[in-house]
Amino acid sequence: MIIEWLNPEGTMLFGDRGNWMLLQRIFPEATLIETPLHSIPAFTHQHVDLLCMGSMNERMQTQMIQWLRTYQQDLKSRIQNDLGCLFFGNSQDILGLRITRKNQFVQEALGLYPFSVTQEAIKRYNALVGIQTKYGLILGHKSTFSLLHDTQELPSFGKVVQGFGHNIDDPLDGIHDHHMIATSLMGPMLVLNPHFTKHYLKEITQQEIIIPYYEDLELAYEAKKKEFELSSHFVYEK
Amino acid sequence: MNTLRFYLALWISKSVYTLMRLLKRNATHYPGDVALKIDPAFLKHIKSPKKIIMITGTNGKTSVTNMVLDVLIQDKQPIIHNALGSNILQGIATSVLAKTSIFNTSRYDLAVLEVDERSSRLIIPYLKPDFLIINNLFRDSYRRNAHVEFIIQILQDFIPKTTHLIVNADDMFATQVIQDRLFTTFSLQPISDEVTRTDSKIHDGKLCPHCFNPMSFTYVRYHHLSHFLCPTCGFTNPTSHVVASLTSIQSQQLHIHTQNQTFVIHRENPSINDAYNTAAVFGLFVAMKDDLNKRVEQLGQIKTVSSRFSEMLVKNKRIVGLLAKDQNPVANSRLCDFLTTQPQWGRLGLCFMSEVHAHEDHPKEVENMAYIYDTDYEYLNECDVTQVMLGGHRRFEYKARLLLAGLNRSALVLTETEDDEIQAIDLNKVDTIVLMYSTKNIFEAMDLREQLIARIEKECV
Repeated sequence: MIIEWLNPEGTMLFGDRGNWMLLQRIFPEATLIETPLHSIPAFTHQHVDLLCMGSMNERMQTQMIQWLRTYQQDLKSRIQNDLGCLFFGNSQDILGLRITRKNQFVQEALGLYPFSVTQEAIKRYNALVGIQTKYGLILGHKSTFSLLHDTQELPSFGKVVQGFGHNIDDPLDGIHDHHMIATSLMGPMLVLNPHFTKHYLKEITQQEIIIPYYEDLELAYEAKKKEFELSSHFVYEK
Repeated sequence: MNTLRFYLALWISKSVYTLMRLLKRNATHYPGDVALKIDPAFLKHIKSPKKIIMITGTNGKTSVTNMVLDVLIQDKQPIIHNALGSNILQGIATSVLAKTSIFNTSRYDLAVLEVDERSSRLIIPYLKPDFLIINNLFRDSYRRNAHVEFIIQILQDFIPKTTHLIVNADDMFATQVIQDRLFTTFSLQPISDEVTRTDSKIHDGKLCPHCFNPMSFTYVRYHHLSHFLCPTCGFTNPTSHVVASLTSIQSQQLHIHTQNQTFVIHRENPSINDAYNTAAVFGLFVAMKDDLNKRVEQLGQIKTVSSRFSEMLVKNKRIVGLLAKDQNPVANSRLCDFLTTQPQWGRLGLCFMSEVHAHEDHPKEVENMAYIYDTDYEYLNECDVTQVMLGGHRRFEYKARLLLAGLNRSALVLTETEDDEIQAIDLNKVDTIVLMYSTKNIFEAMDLREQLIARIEKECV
């Protein structure tokens, strides 16, 4: 098993490290590649089973786009050839056509999928989010400046049953294309949703997956699920 | 200016303030809230005191504010302050309106205000500070503060150009705010017997914040507090105007070198944080062109009362209270690091009490625990932790995190609520019980400490 995380120094901003920790525990024999910003990504020249990227600040998004633009076609074809990809938090923003900041500055993105992103610098959208997916109900949090638009053609990850999706009025969330999953859920999604982790990793490896502390993680998930049913929290910070 | 609206806001909020004080209520937030509801531009319209000193940053704001107040109060000058109140917009408005006459004249000439960095954009453009201390900028609540870059942007956009900044030169993020402004920098020299920590999960400065190339370091204190140089673009620590140094970590003499003079300040409880705080306050007095000899004497006389640390011995057990700031991975990592430096505390029983909504039966929101995956709980493996009490809604998540950190499953004790933690501790297995409470649960933690004291007195020899 070979797992690559793109620019971990810059894209593990909001607890994404929990995903990396769990992957290391699930695959203790795996080769873990932490590729620094502006170096040649491993997936472009060797076999990689799973490619990961997490949350980053908005200026880092620009850096990531500039870096990965060189490998844009490569990434696209590898996704079509079933490369496992997990892109958490606002890393999904860079996959679209453009990011518009403060209604003025437009950053061309990687253009892998047909959607655009707006970021109003001071409005931070926070929500508890439940997403019904083919893997079951995924629970998590969003804390983001980004809203996705023009998402009609996007192959979505799932339907939001709590919180909000691509944007405030859109019930769909994320992208699911072959084995590539991008979701705006922040942080340790693999730890918080062990059933998803097990199912997804089995899908991409074609192996039975043993997740350490699975029962403990499931208990945490079930406790959270109960609380989600009592909550409907959605705010933005002024 | 809508005069009628403003005066209505002023008079009604002052009446509310007076009434709440008469009723012995805590009038530190609500009167300001009332004023701002009537006149959203209330801070713009209210008459500012002649001189305003503000303190902001991620960690240490309250301590620095208290130190500044403790010194300036010795000048016998009345001061508007929010030392007992809130540091967000409503709290600041309350502090100011309380000392403003019904004719909108400020009764005091000087204000010393602690300001929440996230809320600063709503405050500092109107109550323009003459001096602003930025002690440090770290990651904080992901929900509220997003990331350090976001806070830097707020400060850069909203701090008036006339404000004189006092900034930590060891902090590569805080120093970014000084561009095109008057500033005084302070720093703390490496200490000979200081144990630095470079293995934290959190180091947001590994890539240069200007050119994004790898940064090089000649010295790292913790996280991004360091001596740094970007080999590509040359970004480095600014020259420090106020250089603090300690001959050893336990030294009670803080040496401060500035303007070709060296001053010695006596500090009763030396620590890295106290040294930084003292240097920041001294930097303020340098910027204000004060009589530094007088300030040195005053700084040596003040005692720092910490709400973040308490320690007591009850029979053969030690009880320690430590503030584990909720939603803040840096503060919690520092706490875990601190525990590794206390081997004399013996076998540790840790009571996790930092869940924000732990004392609500049905909280309206489920707390986002992403930050615990950036917290260095792995450091706890270096201590003799025999019990970890995990109570409340998030107990299963804490358990999962601590298992991933490598803690022994048998040490983890789950209770339904935080209130149950005290009764569940096996007192035979611990020498020291550490209560790790949050800013939201201080009073509950104090109650639980009383229960713990009672239990120890009853059950221990």
